Amino acid sequence: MELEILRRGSGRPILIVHGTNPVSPRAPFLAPLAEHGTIAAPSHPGFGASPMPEDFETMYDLINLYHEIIDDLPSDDVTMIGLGFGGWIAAEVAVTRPSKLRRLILADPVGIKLGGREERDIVHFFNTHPDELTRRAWHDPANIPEGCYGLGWQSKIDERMSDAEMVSLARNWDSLCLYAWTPHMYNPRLKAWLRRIRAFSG
Amino acid sequence: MTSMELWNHCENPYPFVPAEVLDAADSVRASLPNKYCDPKIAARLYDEIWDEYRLCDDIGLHIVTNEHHSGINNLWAASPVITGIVASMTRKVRILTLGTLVTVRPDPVRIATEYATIDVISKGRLDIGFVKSGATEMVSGNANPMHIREREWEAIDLIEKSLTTHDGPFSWEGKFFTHPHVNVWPRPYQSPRPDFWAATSDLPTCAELGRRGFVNTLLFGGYERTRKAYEAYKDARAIAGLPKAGEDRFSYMAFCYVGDTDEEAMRIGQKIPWFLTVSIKSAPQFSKFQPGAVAPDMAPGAWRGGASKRPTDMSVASLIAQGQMFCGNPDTVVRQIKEFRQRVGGVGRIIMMTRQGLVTHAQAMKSLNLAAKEVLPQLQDLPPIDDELRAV
Repeated sequence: MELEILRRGSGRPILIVHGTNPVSPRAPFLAPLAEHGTIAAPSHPGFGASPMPEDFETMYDLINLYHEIIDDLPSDDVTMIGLGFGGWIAAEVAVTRPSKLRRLILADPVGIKLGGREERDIVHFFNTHPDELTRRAWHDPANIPEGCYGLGWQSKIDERMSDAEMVSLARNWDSLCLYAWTPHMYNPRLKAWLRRIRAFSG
Repeated sequence: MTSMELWNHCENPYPFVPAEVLDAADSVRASLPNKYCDPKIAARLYDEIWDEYRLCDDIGLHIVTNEHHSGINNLWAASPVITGIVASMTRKVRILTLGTLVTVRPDPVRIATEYATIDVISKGRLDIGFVKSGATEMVSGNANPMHIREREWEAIDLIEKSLTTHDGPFSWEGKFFTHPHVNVWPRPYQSPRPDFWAATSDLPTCAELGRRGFVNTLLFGGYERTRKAYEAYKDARAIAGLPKAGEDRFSYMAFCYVGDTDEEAMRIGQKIPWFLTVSIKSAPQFSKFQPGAVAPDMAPGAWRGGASKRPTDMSVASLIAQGQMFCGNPDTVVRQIKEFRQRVGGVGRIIMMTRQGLVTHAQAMKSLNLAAKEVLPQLQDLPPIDDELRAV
């Protein structure tokens, strides 16, 4: 499958599984992270410049795709970092114990519901005003790095944004909705299987 | 010769929420708390509209029901319930459901069961309309806003098969719907099934309606968009080698008020565009930023605010000029409808949105009476459309 992949650094692989939007080449965390290994940050099918194969639109598809990506990495010492929506994918992949996976980092993951039926653990991405999403997603929205679009990205649309950026953001948003709508933003059974994730040191 | 039909569409709006509440809300649909809907007022509204429907049954205006949720524009959320009540209270006129939201509801077989039941209760007076829906309806219905057109067609196919299969259970394992045991009782009164309508101005969809022979209705499309939609329908039939469609395959919904005089009609008619000026206010996450709302390539135009197809001038005179409203004394309305029919290349079924916005029960009854007694007779036995003139 054809995928857009952002790469940085050298050494053992660090696979970043992105969230609402693909990892921006301008993300400030890339340079310090690249000191620890080779960053590979694919854009999920339907995101960024990655094409969306027909009927490829479920979490099942993404989980199997990321297994294939890990299989193809040239090392058996893989670190996987899941961000937001990507944290759900990474957790699902990790519970099946890919043999090459050594480290797992979940940052603000969706996909895992811990609270009760009337507690909303995960904000409704699609029914919430963009300003509220921004408020929840960023410690200080005034410091959102230029060119980086997280949850609440719609609040950053202004006349300076190019048409190409808008088309890309719209495509990402549509794709996210396809993958994450059913089950909606979490797998009700994932919590029970998280115990299978094994921590490796070194 | 063509004899046109008039249909009455009232979606039971609730224009009683204080303006300051509506001004402060970022959406008057989907998220407006129901504490602003007084059930005693709602009960009165239902009673008034049942009266209007009984009148329609007496004077020969067919009836349209529809479905919207959680907002000031519409109290027909439980649409099949409403349509069933209309079927029970009327005896003669046809009833079009336009329609329960097939892209929101999880089980089309249940919808087919409801429609078959209503068709039997009405003794074969039901027409079934489909709408793609979207926007706040996806929010209220907790439905995935992506791929809704594809989902709509699969729902329609399953509903059609459910209504027309009479030899025991069949199984459906589609992309969107799985129902391994389908066997609808009762089967519909009409054979092979009630007539199907769909509301759309999307040209590829109009073409598909043409190939399938559904009634194509447009909502406030105006002259040009409506003509193009009907032409897409006709062209698709011609390409497929199908017979030319009669004017009964084409329908159009417009705002409508018929008064004794033009002056009276214009004055009361000005209450109707409340539908556009007040009742469609929607938060950005329910509209332009909803996934699937626009194709990604169209997002820059939509997000920069230039893509609305809705009229910007809400005066009655402007809406009449654009073919989105029929309004005046009976002769004026006849003239407007005949001109519309001519300019769009033929239309047989006019849906009048009359009890809308701040129009009162008494005002609605008056307009409906005039429409049936003074307008409708002048729309019978009309000569064929002169195709040379349709693009005037």
